[in-house]
Amino acid sequence: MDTCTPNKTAMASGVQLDKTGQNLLSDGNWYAELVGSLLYLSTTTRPNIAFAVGVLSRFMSGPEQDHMRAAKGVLRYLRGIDRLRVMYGGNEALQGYADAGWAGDIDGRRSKTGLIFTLNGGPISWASKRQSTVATSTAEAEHVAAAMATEEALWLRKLLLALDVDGGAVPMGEDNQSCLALVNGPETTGRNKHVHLADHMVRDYQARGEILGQAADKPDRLRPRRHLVRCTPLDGCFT
Amino acid sequence: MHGRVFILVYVDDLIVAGERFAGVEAIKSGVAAKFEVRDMGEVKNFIDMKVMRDKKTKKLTLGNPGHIMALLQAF
Repeated sequence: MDTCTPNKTAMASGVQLDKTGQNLLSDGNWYAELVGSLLYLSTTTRPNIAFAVGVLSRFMSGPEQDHMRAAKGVLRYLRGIDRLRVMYGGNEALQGYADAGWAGDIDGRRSKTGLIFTLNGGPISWASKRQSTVATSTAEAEHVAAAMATEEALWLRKLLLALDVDGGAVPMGEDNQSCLALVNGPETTGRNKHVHLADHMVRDYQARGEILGQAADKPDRLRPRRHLVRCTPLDGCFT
Repeated sequence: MHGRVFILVYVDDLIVAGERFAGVEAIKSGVAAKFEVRDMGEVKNFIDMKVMRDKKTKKLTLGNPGHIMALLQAF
């Protein structure tokens, strides 16, 4: 495939992959090997394929032709960005971003968390994970995402403090207004227990000065988190 | 006098970085006294990642160009 036409995105938005049990690949190992290699790339220098790899890895048992086609689509995307490298430079402090893709998974309707942290101008920690509970609103999904990102922020902050780098509260970019309102204002409504937990956790750590929730508006130059919850063309932290 | 030294360990690969070169040298000779090691010099590759440093602009970049090409050829 080294002469293939590059794709603009890692995975077309709107494409729903699921397990149909039909058109199974005759050799499933081939698929597992490809997805394994993509997984390695997504954890080292290609955070922008983390979402796509997360989707593909759900079909490791019983991969079908459609799944292989999607996996090869990620390869086509990589071909177009082969020369890109992750770059670090400067003295930018730790900055976190959290985002959620609501109910994108048609099997269980669970939402996706995307989170990324940058330091000195480059990404240092990221994840694209399916949430463990079903969120009934976008704000709820964003809340769970913010809580997951807060956990990561606390760990990174501790690590940096051990290296004598104290950047103060970690700014956390979040583009959901109702989620920010809930973090910043202590009103409670009749929400589920797990959301309640997420609320309190994020709010408490903000009160303790460990994190700082911020609005990350759409024109934000650095929007790397978007790649972790859905598929958009590349922009942001690559050179 | 050695300053702070950081040692990153991945299975049997180590990166030693420090505020002063003397510190790095001290760790390297200390480890070499106990284990059989190969000094690979400045970091160029680490777990299949290509590491490039531009000391003038103080920029560090990471990439996997070889890995992506190998995948494209295999599939």
